[in-house]
Amino acid sequence: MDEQWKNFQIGAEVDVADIMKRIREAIETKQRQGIYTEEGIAELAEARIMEYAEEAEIDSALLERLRSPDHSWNLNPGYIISSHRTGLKARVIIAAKKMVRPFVRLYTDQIVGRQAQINLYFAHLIHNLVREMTRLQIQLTTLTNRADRIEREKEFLEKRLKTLEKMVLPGHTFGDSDPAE
Amino acid sequence: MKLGFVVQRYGMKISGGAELHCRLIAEHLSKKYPVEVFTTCARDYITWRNEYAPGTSTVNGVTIHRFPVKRTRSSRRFFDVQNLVFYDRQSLEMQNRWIEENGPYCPRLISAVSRRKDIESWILFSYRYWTTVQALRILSGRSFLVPTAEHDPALYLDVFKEIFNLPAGIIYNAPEEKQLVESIAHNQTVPNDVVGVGVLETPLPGPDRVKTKFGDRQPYILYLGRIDKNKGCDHLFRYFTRFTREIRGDIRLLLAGNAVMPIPEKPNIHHLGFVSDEDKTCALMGACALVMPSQYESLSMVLLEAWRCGRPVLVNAACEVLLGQCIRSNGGLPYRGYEEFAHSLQLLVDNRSLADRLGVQGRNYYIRNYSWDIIEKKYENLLIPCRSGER
Repeated sequence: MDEQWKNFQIGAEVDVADIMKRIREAIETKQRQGIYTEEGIAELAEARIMEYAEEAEIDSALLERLRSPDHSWNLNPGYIISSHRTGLKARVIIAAKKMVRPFVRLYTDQIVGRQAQINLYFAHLIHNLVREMTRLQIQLTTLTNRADRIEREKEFLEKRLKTLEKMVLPGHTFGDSDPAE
Repeated sequence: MKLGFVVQRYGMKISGGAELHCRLIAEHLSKKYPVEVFTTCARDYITWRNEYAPGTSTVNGVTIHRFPVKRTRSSRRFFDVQNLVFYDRQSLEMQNRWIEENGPYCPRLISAVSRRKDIESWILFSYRYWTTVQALRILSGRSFLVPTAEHDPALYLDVFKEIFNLPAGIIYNAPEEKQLVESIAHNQTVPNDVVGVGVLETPLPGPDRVKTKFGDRQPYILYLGRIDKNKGCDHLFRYFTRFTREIRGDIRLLLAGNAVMPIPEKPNIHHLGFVSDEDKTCALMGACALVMPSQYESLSMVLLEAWRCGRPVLVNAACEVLLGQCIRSNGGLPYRGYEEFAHSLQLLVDNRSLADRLGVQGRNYYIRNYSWDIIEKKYENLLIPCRSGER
């Protein structure tokens, strides 16, 4: 893309939507050729993860947390004690919950902590799998396109060969009969 | 017509977008009407620690009443409540608790506002703060809300549906913001207008001054504002570093503003720190473009500043407001992802005449929509019917 923008023609009024359309077309052409960098693959993988999440109809707020680097989506043994009730009743309930909490956490913290670690591991693993899958799909597309091109070139060369044969040896075609004959 | 403003922070040294927006509007309207601002003693929006002295003072000819914040914000308690409220369904009571924890919790400010019956119209800034919500609840018929809303989990809380239906009028920053709020709060019946704000009109320096200050040999793009992950600076650094590595190594990225995240130590990235208004204008005029990578903006005043200087902008298209501003003005290029960023940046750097043309179109858009006489007129059109009891 080095030289193309230097000669980008502009009229009296510049239309941003039109420029962006042309930029997107240039990008599509490049991507059809399978030209991707490592960071391009990571970006594509990220977009794919978003697509999967949208297909699964995950709550957008939760999705935002899942994508944030601070792991705030994960299980956390610390929690805020509240009550939907109001007044004195609420205060008594909250005090009781606060008294009981240390005993509950004595048994639950270890399990919750371990599950949080497992969640983190799986999230990491799945993220990397999507990235690898994206890389392989790009490679596959590039190789398929290359195979198609080679196939087309082969057909063209065969036709060319036959034409040349007819010109050199009219009435004889190589390959149709045993060359030993 | 006496006007009152309620805002979470106020002062010359406060650089937050909504706060600067409020100050500029208050200062411009004070030329025609008596204006009083009710605010807190806080300077820091994370802790709301009291730093200014309480009492009445004057800033640029505007009377300011400052009240001490009663309780500073505990990050731990705030995020505990926020995680519950944003990500699990919670009662209105819990949502109100989030507003209180978000702060600034300043009951004395609200008492002072409720006593001022002589003030006919109140302009309240930023929907998500405790001061704004409480003031709206006591002033509903006399209040005008400047929501400065963006895609943010807080906006979707049920408690704000009520809040957006309370004011006598709403002053939006952009059509996208109006659409977003109305789609959530169903408050189409509340009178409103898309107004926005002008910018500080510092004199524009000549080309010689720009050259001496920032040089003209190596082209640069400029980022203005808080250098923060929440403003998209992490992806800006990633994209820019990759661009200099893969496409053009002679471009610089200049950053002007306070950094709240680490800045990569690269030869092409320069942090200028806090710059004066004059230097900021110089930097803008010498830039190939202003870059705004934020995904969450309700207006972005720096875009207007760039257009006023006749420079194009390069913005994150994931932000609907920035995308809309670029399309309406034809004054900048909106990108989605690295590839579009790289193509757009290269286009702006390589094709100077195109960049200049985009800048001129941006300037025309700024003059048509954000000149101070237009902004003042729009405010008056909303406020005066309230005064004459037409609502």
